[in-house]
This record gives sequence, C-alpha cells and structure tokens, in this order.
Amino acid sequence: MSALLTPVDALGRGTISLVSYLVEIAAAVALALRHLLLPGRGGRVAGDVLARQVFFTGVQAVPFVLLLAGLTATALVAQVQVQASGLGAGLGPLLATLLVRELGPLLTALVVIGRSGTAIATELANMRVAGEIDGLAYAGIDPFRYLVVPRLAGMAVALVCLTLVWTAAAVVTGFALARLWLGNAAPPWGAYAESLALAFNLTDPLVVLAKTLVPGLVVAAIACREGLACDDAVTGVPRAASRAVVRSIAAVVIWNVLVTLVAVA
Amino acid sequence: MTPLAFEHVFLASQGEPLIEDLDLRLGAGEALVVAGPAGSGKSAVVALAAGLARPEAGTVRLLDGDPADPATGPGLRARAGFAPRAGALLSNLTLADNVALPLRWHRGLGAAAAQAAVEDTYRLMGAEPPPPVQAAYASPDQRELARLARALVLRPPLLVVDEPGAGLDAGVRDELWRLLWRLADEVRCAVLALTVDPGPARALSERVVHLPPRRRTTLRIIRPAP
Repeated sequence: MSALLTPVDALGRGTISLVSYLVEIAAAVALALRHLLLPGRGGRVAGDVLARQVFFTGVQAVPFVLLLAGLTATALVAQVQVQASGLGAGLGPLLATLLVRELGPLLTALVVIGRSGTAIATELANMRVAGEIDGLAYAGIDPFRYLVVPRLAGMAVALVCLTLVWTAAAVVTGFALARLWLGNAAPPWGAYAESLALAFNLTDPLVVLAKTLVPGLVVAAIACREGLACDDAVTGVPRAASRAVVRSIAAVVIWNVLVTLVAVA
Repeated sequence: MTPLAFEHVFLASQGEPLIEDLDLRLGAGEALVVAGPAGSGKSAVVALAAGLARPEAGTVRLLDGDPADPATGPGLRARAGFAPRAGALLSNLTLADNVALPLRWHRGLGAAAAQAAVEDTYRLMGAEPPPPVQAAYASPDQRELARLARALVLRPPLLVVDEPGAGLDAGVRDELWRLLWRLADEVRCAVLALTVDPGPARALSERVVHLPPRRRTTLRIIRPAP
C-alpha cells in the first residue's frame, strides 16, 4: 500500500472499530434493559446479584464519596474566597453550577469506575479464564442474564444514589465553610438554600439523571464486555481491567460534555 | 424419548479432523463409557452433546431436541445434567450454593428449599452434605463431589460426566463410578461417562467405546460388539 494511503487506512480501520465497539455496548445495554423489563428465569438469583452489586458499588463507596465531596467543596469555596474576595449570595449558584451539575456526576463516576469497573472486569475475566462461564452455559444458565444484567442495573442505581450523596455532602460542606470563613457575614442557611434553589432550573434533575444513569449503564457494560472478552489466559486479566478503566473514563467524559452542551444550548 | 443420539457426526479442530463418523445412541437408563487418551476428542463429545459445539456434519439430538438451537438449547441443557471438565464451579459461591444454583435459577426455589434439595442430592450420592466453604477454598475431593452434585440436583434423565473422579484417590474414584452405575440402575438416569482410564469403569460395565489416539489421518469410533 502506498505511504500516502497508510494513515487513511489506519483512520478508516480505527473508525470502523470504534463504531462497532459503540454498537456492541449499546446493544448490551439495550438487551439488559429488555431482560429487566421482561420476566424470565432466575429472577430471584439475579436479584441477589443485583443487591450485592448495589451494596459493593454504592453503599461501600459512601465514606469515600463523602470525603471527596467535602474536599472538592472545600477547594472550590477556598478558591472563590481568594479570587472573588467574598461569597455571599453568589455561593449558591456557584455550587449549583460547578459541583452539582458538573463535578458531582463526573467525580462520582470516576470513583465508581476505579472501584467497581475494575472489579467487574477483573472478576469476569478470571471467570472466563477459569472456565466458570462455560460451567454456567452447561447448566443451561444464560451467562448474560446471570452476570451482566444485574451488574448493569446495580451500577446504574448505585451511581444515581451516590451522586445524590455527593450533592448533599457538597452543599452542606459549602455552607459550613462559608460560615467558617465569613462568620455572621455569611448568609444564613435559609438564604443559602434559597439561593441554591433559585440557581436550579426545571431541566437540572434531568441533566443530572442523564449524567448518572447513562454512565452507570455504560461503565458496567464496558467492564462486563472487557472481562468476558478476555483471552483464555491469566495475562489477559489485567489488560481487561486496564481497558475497562480507560474506555469507561473516555465514555463518561465525552457523554457528560455532550449533555452539558445540549443543556446549555 | 432417546436421551442422547449422535448420527454420523463429524467435527474438526484447527483444520484437522477430530471426530469422524461418530454414531452413538443412549437409551433411557443406559450407561455408556467413552474412553480415549488425551486429545482424542472426549471433551468435544461433551460440548457437542450440550450443543456448545456444532458438528461439521451429522446430527446431535439431546432429549429429542437440537441442543445447538439458541431457542431450545438452554432449556435442553437445563433438563440434562452436564459435569464437564471445562465447566468449573463459581469460585465466589459456596459449594452448596454452586450445587443449588441450577435449582434456584430454573425452578425459582428459595434458599431454604434449595439447601434441603442439595443435602438430598448428596445423600443420593452417598456423601455427607458439603461444608460451608467457598469453592475457591474447597479441597479437590469436595469440588469433584460438588461438580457431580450440580449436574444431579435437578434429577435429570441424562447425566454426562467428563472424567469422573479425576485427580482423586482410587477409593473415592471407584465409589464415584459405582454411584454412576447405581444412578443408571436405580434412578433410570442415562449415563454417559468419558474417561482416559476405563479400568474402573470396565469392572462395572461391558459397554465401553474407545476413541483411538489422534493420528495424521481421520479417526474412527469403534463400537464394541453387542
């Protein structure tokens, strides 16, 4: 092939590969939603797997998310105090915009990717290498319904709930810091809450839901896909986890930016 | 109903013939051993029976259905009992939870009812109930019993076992073979067992099919004289 065509060929192959990957993830999410909506075998067993996933991804991550929300709010409020020489009535809108609409969903998704995305990809890859997936198939148990569907649902539910936890923690921390810095010059809780409420509009819950529910489904689908597509060798396990993390981060960042652009348009 | 039938089945592996012209019919309550050295296609026979491999030619019928059909295959596999070498227990579940999984999945049993059924299955096998350990930490004996119990827990009309008792000491292995033959006699469960060493099986049954070692040319399945 001529040297001129080689980069074009690479671009073409890369584009085809990316599009087919996105279609594969979208199909996995769609099939999982179909399984969730239509009853079938193994509902109780899959429910147990879902509950364990929500506990691991959501409940066990709460302390870390609280800490992260508090520290992020602290850094933000400190910067505003230094740059803007005061907070007052401007604090509510600032927290609403930066923490609740942007940083909260993104940073919570990164926590979930780091903890649960890697765990899912590693677990499924190990199951592939050990032949446990084949064992399920021989028993007439659909591996997709048993392994993938509850993980997608569990991670989506957990990410939405964790983001609510983040939001509450960030809002409370922001108020506490403002009182600490400015003392009585800081707005009282009532005025602060009112300024925060005025900063939100009707579409904000939908925006935050879009930035949590969809990433929850997509991150779990990517982690499951990478784990199940692992080579039948132990060396494939860390590669599966690494690919899951990188691709999940890219997907979440791109998706959140797109939602923001649509929301502000 | 014919639990399992292979008719003129051909299967290739990596471009080389692996199984050629396999004819095998297992009736209700019959027991059959397929013996052959490593690489002779025993695990492939199990995969074909379960519909997880498709033959190049010929037909495989499992419980009078097509196990390779995506619509009917899972249901047929659920009704039969497979204990393949390749199908490991789930390492993050206890032995009892592994054995109970097909019951809970296909019949929707609760935990207590499933536990009772697991203990019943172990009694049928002449063994004590499994200890409450995760499969990852269980001994080879415990895992082997659980592998068999998981295939038996739904009381299938057909049991397909790849290398029963492999890696266990001779006494335990012989007991497992006696159990397989008892299942065929007392419970009218058809049994297809695949093994490298047909010695323990030959002591219990005359019906052994030998798979010759792989050669450069095609393989043949030799049926014993009736």
